[in-house]
Parts: sequence; C-alpha cells; structure tokens
Amino acid sequence: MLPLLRLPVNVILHIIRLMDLTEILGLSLISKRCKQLVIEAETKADFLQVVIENSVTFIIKNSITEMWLAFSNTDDAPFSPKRLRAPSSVTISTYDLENPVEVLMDPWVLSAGYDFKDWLKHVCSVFHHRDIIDYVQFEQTSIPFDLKDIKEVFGKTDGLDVRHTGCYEYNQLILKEFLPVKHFSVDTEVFRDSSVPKNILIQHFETFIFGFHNENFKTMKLDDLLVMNSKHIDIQGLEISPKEFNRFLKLWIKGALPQLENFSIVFPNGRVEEDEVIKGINYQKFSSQRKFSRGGNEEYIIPDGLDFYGKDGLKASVQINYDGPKNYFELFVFHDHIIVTSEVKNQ
Amino acid sequence: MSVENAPVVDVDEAAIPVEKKMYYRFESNDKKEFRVSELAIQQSETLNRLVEAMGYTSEDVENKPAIAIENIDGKTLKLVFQWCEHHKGEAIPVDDGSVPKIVEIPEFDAKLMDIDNGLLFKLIWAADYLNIVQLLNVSCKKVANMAQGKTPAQLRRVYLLPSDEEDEAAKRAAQEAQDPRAREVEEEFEERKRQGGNSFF
Repeated sequence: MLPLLRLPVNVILHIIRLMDLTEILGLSLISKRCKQLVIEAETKADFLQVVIENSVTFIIKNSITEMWLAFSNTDDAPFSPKRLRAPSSVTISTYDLENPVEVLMDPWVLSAGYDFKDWLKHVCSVFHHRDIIDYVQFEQTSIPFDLKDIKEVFGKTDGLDVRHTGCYEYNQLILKEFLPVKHFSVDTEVFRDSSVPKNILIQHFETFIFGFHNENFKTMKLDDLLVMNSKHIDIQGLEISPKEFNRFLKLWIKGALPQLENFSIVFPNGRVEEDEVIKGINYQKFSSQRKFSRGGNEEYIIPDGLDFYGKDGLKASVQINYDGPKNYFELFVFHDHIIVTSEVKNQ
Repeated sequence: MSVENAPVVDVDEAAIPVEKKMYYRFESNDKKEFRVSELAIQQSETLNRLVEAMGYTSEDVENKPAIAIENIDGKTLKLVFQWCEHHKGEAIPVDDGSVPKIVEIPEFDAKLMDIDNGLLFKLIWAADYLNIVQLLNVSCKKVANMAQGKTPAQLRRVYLLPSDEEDEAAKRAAQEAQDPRAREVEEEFEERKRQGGNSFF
C-alpha cells in the first residue's frame, strides 16, 4: 500500500500519465477527487466507438492502447426490444497496439444507477474526448435494443457502421434513425437484396465504406458508383471488371463524381494489369512517393501512380497494389484543398 | 513518448577537465554523510545548481562542513546517490509534455527499488525535491505498475484512496480544526433543531 494522494500533485499527475487506459479509468471511478486528478493529467483518447449487439461495448483508443468495455446486465428481460438500462458490471480487455496481446480483466461490479449516459459522459470527460462518438456500430443480435433508447443516448455520432443484425426491418430502422452521418460503413447483407438503395448512395458522406466486414458479396455495379456523392469511397464488394473501371475513370475525366477525393476498390480474383485500367487515357507515370492528406489524421502514402487530368484541369492519380490474388485500385484526386507532398524519389 | 527516443540534454563528460572531478560531501537529516561524484550530482538539477552556486574548490569540499540536505533521511539519500552514481554521465530526458508516457525500468533500478512502499514513498519525494528526472520517472512507473489488473475497489486499497464521504469528513475536520468556534456553532444548531426551532438566528 502506498498513500498516493500524499505525494506532491505534480508527482501524482506524472504517475497517472504512466498508467494505461484501464488503470486511469479505475482510478477515475473511486472518488470526485481522483476523477479531478485524472482530468488534470490530461490523458487523451483519440477514438471512441460504441458497439451495439446483445449488449453494449465501448471501444476507447489512444496511440498505444485499445480498451474494450463490455457492459452487461444480470437480469435482462427476455423480450424484444429490450430497454437500455444501467449496466451492472463491465468486463475490460485491453490490447497493446504495437504488440497485440489481449489482457482480460475480472469483471468490475458497477454502482447501481450509473447508466449509459453517465458512462458516456464519464469517459468523455476523463479521456478528454469531445462529446461526439466517432462510430456507433451495430452487430448481429438476438434480442435487439429499443432503438429510441439507443438513439437518445448514442445519437451524437460522426460515424455509423452497420452489419446485418439478423433482422432486415431492424436494419432499416437503424438507417432511418441514424442517417445522415459523416462517415458511413455498411455491409452488403444489411439489405434484403444485398444492394444499397440509391437514396443512400446519393447521400453526401465524407466517407462511405461498403463491404468492409464481408467482401465476398460483389453486388455494387458501375451504375451504383456513378450516383455516389461521397468524398472518400472504399468498396470491398464490387462487381465490375477492369474494363468497366477504365470506363469509370473516363467518366470521371468528363466530370462524373466531382466531389470525389479518394476511391479504393478491390478486384478479388485474378491479376489486373495497369494497361487494362488506363487504356485510352493520356497519362504520365509518376515514380516518386507522395503523401496525400485529406485533413485531420487522414493521410495516405502513394508509392507511385499513373497521373492524368480531368477535363476541368483537376489532376488525379491511379495506383495499383497487388496483395496475393487481390488487386487494390486506388484513385486520388488532387483537389486544391488536398495537401500533396512529394517524398524521396524511388527511381 | 519513449524514453529512448526522448530529446536529451547531453552530459559531456569529456568536456569536464580531469582536475575538476571531485567528490562532494552531503549530510542527511539524521546526520549520515555521503561522498558523491561531481558527475553523479549532475543527475540532480537541484544539487547541481547548489554546488555550482557554492563554487567549492577541492579544498573547500574537504575543509568545509558537508552540505546539509535537511528534509531527506540517510536511508533514502543512500538510494538516491546509489542511483545517481550508477547513472552518472547518462543523458537526462526532457519532458516534451506528450501523454501517454512510456518508461521502462532498467534491471539496476528495479533492484534498487525492491524496497518497502514506505521507503519508495520517501524516494519519490526525494527524487522530486532533488529534481532527478529519470529517477522520478522510474519510481513513478513503479507506483503506476501497482495499478496493473486492479479493480477500482482494489486500487482504493493499494493507493489508500479515500471515498467521497471520507474526503468530506476530512475536509470538515480540517475546517473545524482551523476554527473551533465552527464546531460550537454546529452543535448549537443541532441542539436548536432538536428543540424544534426552525430558525437559527
């Protein structure tokens, strides 16, 4: 035993800064004084995600650790939809991001009456996170939560990530309650016919990710791409040929998708050659590494690329990565607000 | 920030003329005397400034009384100077204000700090008072490590942390100790309440 609070305040703050997220969270729950010290130590979380399935989990990340808070209730009513009530315990696991090893702790028994609004407020204040969640993620669930409850507590979110919950009607309700958002990730199976409705595709997302959790469904077509209004598009389940992608590039040159900044797709099978993709386009091979910054933390390294211009004079570069049988194609558009910096020359 | 990658203030041993290397004498508050090399003293910003300000020669060091360190006992000071001698000449980490901080405890330091918590507590106070950055880093890390895998209830016991109620009670007691009249007023108020009075004045 060591009387922590009898040390000088600067030393207490130093000790807190050397703790990991779990230890800091534990300390913050002990008393108002401890919570205040934790706040003064200014340990920040970079990312806060809430996962909704049969129970609720918070994922909190900083540069070195990822902490999962899996809340549970001992006496959930067995009927649907279930109400979002104060959790009775939380099981915490942490991952060291540099050396991914999971550490699972014994469950913490929680104070009665500390509900999810309190928890959200608590983690945001002690980890200096803004009061907006980065992502709310819906997963498969046997007894879904009342969406009104979820929306009321977790409605302030920048991002929405939806996987098939097991019920198409519930999937639709989620989209109705939460869209529009800045960042949207959705799986093909969320929709009854595995294709994204046009009224969603045309929304102005900062980021649209399709099929991240299950890339085996290839349901997105070229026509779907052409109606999209998102700035960053990442599609894992795409059913277009290299020839169609070539057509897509030509349509972009003519002015399609004027808001597009970064576009990433996967051709899952067979090697696709550059020539097929760039055929008929006046391009120049660029062999130096460039850094492409969309603002905030969003930075991409473009190792090389095939540069070409739209008819409005906007420059773009297409780049191909091969990863086993998969071919990743990326298109970067060099809008005026995008910062592109050249790095060391490769050739 | 990794300590290894931290910006450092280089301690240039080679630049110190050989004839200037000397051993200073320090005395703890329980009259134990220690002789510490000039290079080891550089690990402590407080002591380094002190000896620089004193401008002692080798003769002064021998002839004048040992420099008194009034608020640290001999047992603690011994650990402090053992640490400084072992790490003499090493770069002193500079805090760039980044959080979270990453500190590794070297084997020597771990052995040195294989002590009871009472002595560790004194060592941290001493490292802070003497401004020995890296000793403070490793000793604080040792205290932070005590929290590993602990629930809030366990943390409360490990760090002897009072609850809100205990904090309130301690605050009240401190206020009363400062102002004895406050207790009398409170007792008078309680008595009037018991008698059914609804106004204190």
